[in-house]
Amino acid sequence: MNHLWLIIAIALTVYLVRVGGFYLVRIPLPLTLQQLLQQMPVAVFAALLAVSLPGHAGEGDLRLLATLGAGLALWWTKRLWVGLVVGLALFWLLRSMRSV
Amino acid sequence: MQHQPTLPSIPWSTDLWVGFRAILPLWFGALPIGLSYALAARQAGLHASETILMSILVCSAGVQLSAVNLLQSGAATESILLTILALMLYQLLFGLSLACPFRLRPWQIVLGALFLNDGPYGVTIAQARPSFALLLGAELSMWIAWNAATTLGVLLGDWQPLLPQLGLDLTVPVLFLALLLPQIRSRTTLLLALGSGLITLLLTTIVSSSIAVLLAVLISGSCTWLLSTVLPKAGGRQQ
Repeated sequence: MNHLWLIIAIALTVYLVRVGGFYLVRIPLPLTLQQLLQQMPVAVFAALLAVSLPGHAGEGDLRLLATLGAGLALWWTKRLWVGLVVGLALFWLLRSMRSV
Repeated sequence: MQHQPTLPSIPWSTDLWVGFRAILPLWFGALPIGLSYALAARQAGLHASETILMSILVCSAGVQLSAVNLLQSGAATESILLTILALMLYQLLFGLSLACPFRLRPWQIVLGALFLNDGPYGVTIAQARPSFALLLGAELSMWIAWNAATTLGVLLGDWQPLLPQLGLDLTVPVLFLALLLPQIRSRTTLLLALGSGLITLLLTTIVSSSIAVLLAVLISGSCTWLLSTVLPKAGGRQQ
């Protein structure tokens, strides 16, 4: 259990924010601040996408193309499993083409 | 509509079941995310029991995937917690919005906040008469689905040595893309996503990836804040 305290700290952070919202109703928030809070996940997810894209095996270019394909499938079908299947299939196809 | 006194009162258990059932369509969606989370967590060095414990205690796909992704990149505990805090801040608005249509008692807030996230919030607020029982039923439903998917992912962990060769960690960027796409509803959010992604890529050349993520979120968030405050007509969701 090397990460037990990290997990407990994450759970506490998440819980405090969840509870906090119910008490925040007493404080009027400016509209721009509400919009900023709403947009924070966009920044976090985009940053984490950028970090996880290159991978560790030097296949960053293939992964970028496969992720773009998956993005099109996600946008078109709105179904996660379709995006995952298209992304992986495209990645394996591109990888086999490169090794030929 | 929720203030009409003539409406008959709905039994607690009925509302609980309505909330539980409303989440059922999301069960199927939780499966691939839970499997990918378990996969990423095991690759980041989390023990099987730790992987499941995080799902039991946290129950948030975005938070858990971000945490294990940062953990794998060697991030320090403080930067993991700060990034998660930035990611979670928008959920303050869930509690805020739920506290308006119906009044919750303190014990209901303590319990209702446990596994509050996008799904249960969405189905509760969409009801004509949102209630605590409905919210609790929806949260319970989401929690069961998420933990079942995580456990299944951990049980499939025997295949793990094969996974890097197969390139299955590609599911991580695809998942973040799937979380990101529905959030892009305006030109501002599109610019924010592009800005944050590009700043992260630039920063990873000079600092560790976890610091890059944190800095990129702060820089792109501040720029959006300035844009929407200084130039109110350019910001917001009106595009």
